[in-house]
Amino acid sequence: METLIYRSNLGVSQRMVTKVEALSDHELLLATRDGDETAFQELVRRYRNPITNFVYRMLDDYDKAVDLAQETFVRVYTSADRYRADFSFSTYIYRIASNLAITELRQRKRRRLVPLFSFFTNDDGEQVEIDFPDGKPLQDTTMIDDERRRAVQRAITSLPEKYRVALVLRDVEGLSYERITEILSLSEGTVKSRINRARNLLKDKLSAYV
Amino acid sequence: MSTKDRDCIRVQSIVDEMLADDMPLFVAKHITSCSNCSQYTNKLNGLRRLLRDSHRVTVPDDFDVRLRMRLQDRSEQRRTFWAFVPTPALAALAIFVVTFSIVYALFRHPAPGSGTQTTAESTSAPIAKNDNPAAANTQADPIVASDVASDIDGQAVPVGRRNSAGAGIKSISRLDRSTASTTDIPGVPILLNGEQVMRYPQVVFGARRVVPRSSSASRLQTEPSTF
Repeated sequence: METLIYRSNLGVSQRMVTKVEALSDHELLLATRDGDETAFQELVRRYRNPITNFVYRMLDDYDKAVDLAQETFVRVYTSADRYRADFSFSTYIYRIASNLAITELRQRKRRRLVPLFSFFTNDDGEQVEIDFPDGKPLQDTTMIDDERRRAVQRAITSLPEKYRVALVLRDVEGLSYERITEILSLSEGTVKSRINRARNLLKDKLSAYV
Repeated sequence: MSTKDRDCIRVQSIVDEMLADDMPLFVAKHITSCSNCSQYTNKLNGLRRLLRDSHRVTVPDDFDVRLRMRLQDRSEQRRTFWAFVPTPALAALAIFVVTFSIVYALFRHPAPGSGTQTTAESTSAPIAKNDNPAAANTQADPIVASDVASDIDGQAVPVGRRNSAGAGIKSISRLDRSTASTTDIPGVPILLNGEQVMRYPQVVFGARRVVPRSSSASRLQTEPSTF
């Protein structure tokens, strides 16, 4: 008897999961507004990695990126009543995340946080991370990849805030210009110009890898 | 500007806007024949690939659990007492309190330039008018703001004194720190050195105001003169 009930419950939950997965973001948010926790969980599942990655690219701080990604979802949940369907949900959530990231960047600027690697500069005067000398040649592919990854992240972090957010949305997250204009509330011309400028700056910094 | 230059600008702007590496046929044709555009496209695609393929972080395993706890904390905060008081009501209450404070302060401490008469003149005149208007106008020795300004420390204050004929307030004298009674209350006449005097009750800009309270003034007026 117990087995039967268990199976029956499993069937219901399985149907619910299937049903929720088939819903659009907008429908999920409407369901969240009506108190459906499963719908909210599905939204979190869909966007948790992209949002965390986006904030991480902006801040170069994994713990803070996770923290702000969570704050983004908390705001989505608590202000679900105020959501307007003028834009797509992804635009809405990226806008919240970008606002949080920009606020964090500004607060850091005010607090004058000094990253550990800023004390060290290379021959060109650029800030570099603490890199303890290693006599072994970099033969391991993983290490080379890791070095490239760090170089890319350093280059992105060195961009001015307004160029950074546009470039990350476009070239890292792969969003369309139209979506970016909606997220940043800027004209398309401004967005294109900022992305172009950011790319030119990056080309110089990453010339060894391009 | 030549046609080729115009094509280059057009092609480069198309390449800028592309998300994937796939490009339209006429762009591909132009790039094969133009070294500048070919170099531009290769660099841009290389950069794009570098950014796109760079390491993507993922959330930690306990992300959902922490998020749930955070939401729970947030909802508990909302359940506190103040959460039941709607924000507009609080705002309205704050506006009312501020407005009331300002109005009350304005009534209690009117601006010095609001009237043409000095305060002593404006208050002593009605009292004197009932007893002996002519005497009041001629004998009244109104204190002016400048008289009070030197005593802004608040201890030496102007007082009203009855004239010997009992015709209202004759003049206004000042008491210094040593002669002022410690038991006198502003607005209440007291006997000091054989004279009935009264401390003026209100304050203007840190100094004692030179206006006697109307109730005290009327009491002075109705009392039989003992001087």
